[in-house]
Amino acid sequence: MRVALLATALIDELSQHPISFQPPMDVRKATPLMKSALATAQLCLERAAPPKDASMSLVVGSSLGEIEVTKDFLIHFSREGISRPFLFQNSLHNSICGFLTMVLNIKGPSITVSHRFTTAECALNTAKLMLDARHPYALVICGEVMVKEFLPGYSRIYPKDLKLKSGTAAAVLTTEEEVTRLNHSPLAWINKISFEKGVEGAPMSEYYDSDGLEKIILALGKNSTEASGSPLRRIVLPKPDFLRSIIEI
Amino acid sequence: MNQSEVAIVATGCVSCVGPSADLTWERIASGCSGIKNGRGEIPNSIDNEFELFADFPEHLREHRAAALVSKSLKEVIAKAGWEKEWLNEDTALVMATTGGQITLWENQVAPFLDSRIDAEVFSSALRFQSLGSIIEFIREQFSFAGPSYLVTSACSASGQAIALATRLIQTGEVQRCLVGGFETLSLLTVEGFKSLRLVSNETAKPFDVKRNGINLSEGASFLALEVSDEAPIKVLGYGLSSDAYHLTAPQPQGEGLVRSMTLALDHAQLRTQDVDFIHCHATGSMANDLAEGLAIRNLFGEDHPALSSTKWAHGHLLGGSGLIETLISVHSLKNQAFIPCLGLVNPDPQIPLNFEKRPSRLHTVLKTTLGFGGNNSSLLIGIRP
Repeated sequence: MRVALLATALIDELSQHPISFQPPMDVRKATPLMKSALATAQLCLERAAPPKDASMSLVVGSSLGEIEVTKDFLIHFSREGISRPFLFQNSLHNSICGFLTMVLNIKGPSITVSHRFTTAECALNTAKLMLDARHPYALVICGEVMVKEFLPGYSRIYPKDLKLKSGTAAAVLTTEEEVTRLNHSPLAWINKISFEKGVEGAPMSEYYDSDGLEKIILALGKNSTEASGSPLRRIVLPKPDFLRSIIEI
Repeated sequence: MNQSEVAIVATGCVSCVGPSADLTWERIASGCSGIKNGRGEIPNSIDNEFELFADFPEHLREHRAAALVSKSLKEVIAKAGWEKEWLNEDTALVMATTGGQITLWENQVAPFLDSRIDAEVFSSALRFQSLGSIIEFIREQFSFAGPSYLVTSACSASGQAIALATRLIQTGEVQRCLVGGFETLSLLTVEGFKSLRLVSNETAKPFDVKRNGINLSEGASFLALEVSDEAPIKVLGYGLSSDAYHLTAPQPQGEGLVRSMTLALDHAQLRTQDVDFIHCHATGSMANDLAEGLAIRNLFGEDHPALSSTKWAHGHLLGGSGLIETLISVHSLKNQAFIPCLGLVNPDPQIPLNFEKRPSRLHTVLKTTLGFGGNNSSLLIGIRP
C-alpha cells in the first residue's frame, strides 16, 4: 500500500514562523517539545492544506518522550517529597499528542508510538495503517528533547561520534484515492519501509532517536511544497546498533 | 480483505488475580479480586503456583516488566500452537504500555543528579527509559524477527494496539500478530495519580455513587491474532477518536467516545441492538465513569446492552488495561458468561443506565477505553453467526 507525502516541515525552518494559538487554548505551560511539535505541525498543515472537513489521524513518534518533565517530577519528589500534578500529566509520552489534538482540533485517531532508534519509521508505518476512507489524512510528528544533564549517561549508550540533539519534524500523508480526487501534488510516494540488521556504519552526524523523519525530509530535498518530482527511489538511514532502515519512495 | 477473518486464537496473561489467562478468568468469574489495599501488586513468588523469575535469565532479575511480558508471551504462543520459526516477517508484534520498563531507571535519576551514583551506573539504567527497550528484549529472548510497534497512548494504548494489529492482518502486511499490553507499578505513576487525587485505597467501585478513585495495578496480557475460519472469536471492527478537549479529563458528555463507538459499529456493519455486552473502561474515577456512562446512554438509549467493568478484580493497568479487558471479554464469549460489576452497589443517579441488565446471549462485546490526552478506542469482538 503506497501513500502520498503531501507536505513536510522541520523545526529548524521555524525561526521566522511565529506559533499561532487558537483561543481559548492556553499554551503558556506547554513543554518545549509540545511547543516545537505544535509549530512544526502548523507549518506542515499550512503547506499540505487538507480539506477543512477531512478527518485526520495524528501520530506522534518519540523515543524518549517528555523526559525533561519526567526528570523534573522525579527530582521534585526526591528532594521535596512533593509530587506535582502538572509535571505528572506532562510527563506521559502521549501528552504531546493530547496537546496537539486540543490546539489543532484533531478528532480522528491520535496515537503515540515509541520504538527507540526506529521510532520515526514506526510512526510512519502506523500513519500508513491508519489511512483509510474513514480517516484519509494523517499528520505525523516526530521529536525528541535532549536533557543536558543526562548527556554523560547517553554518551555511554550511543556511539561515541554521535552528536545528540533535540529536533522535531512533521509530515502530512494521504491516500492514493484522495490524491486523485483532489488533484494533490505529492512531494513523494512512500511505498515501503524495511530494515536491515547486522550492517556496519552508524550515523556519524547530529542525531536523535526519532530523527528518521527529519532525515527523510532532508533527503527528499527541500522541505517545501516545491520539491515535487524527487528523483530519489530509496532512502537508506543508518542507525546505531548495526541497523539501518530503507524507505522506498 | 475480509475483516471477519481476523480471529483471536489464544490468550496469555499474568495479573494480580492469577498467573495465567485461564486462572485469571476463572477467578474473576468466581468473584475473586486481586486488589489489596487499593492496589493490584503481583508478588515475585506465590507458593506452589507462581515464580515470576523462574526460567528467566539470571542477569535480568530486576526486570519485572520483562519477566511479566515473558511469562504471558510464552503462554499465548504455546496456546496458539505457533512454532518458533513462525516468529518471522509474517508475524507482527504490537505492544502497548504507559510506563514501559520505568522501574529500572526512575530511582536512578535523583541519585545521579545529586552525584550519588556515577554516569556508568546511570547509563545502564537510562537505556531502559526508551519504551522500545521491551521490543529489544522480546527480539532477543524469543528470536522474534517480524515487524514491531509500540503504542503509548495512555489508557487507550491497548485498544489502539489491537486496532493496529487487526489492520496489519487485514491489509496483508502480515499473516498473524501478537498484541500485548503491560504495566508495572512505579513511583511515577503511583505518586503521579495520587497527586491528581485519582487513587482509591479501597477496591474500586465503577459507576457507584460512592466511587472514589482507581486501583493502580500491574501485569501483562497477550492476544494472538490470525486469519482463521475455524477460530470462533473474531475482531469485528474498531473505532478510534480524540476528544480534543483536555489532557487528563474526558469530554464531559463523552462525545469523543460516542464517535469511536459509532465508527466501530459502522466498521463492523453492526447496529446498536446487535451488541450484547459493553465491557466498559469504567475506572472508578468520578469524571471517567460519568462521561462514559453518558456516552453509552446517548448512543444506545434506554434499551442499552448489559454493562460491566471488571476493574474491581484486576485494577487499572493503564496502557495494558484494554488488553486484559479484551482478554476477559474473549473468555466471556467462549464461556458464555457475563461478569457483573461487583464493585458497584449503588449506581450513580447521574448516570442514567440500568446496571441490573443481563445479556440473554453473548455474541458481540463492545470494549471501550478512554485515556489521558483524550484518546478513545472502541473494539467490537464477537462470534460471527
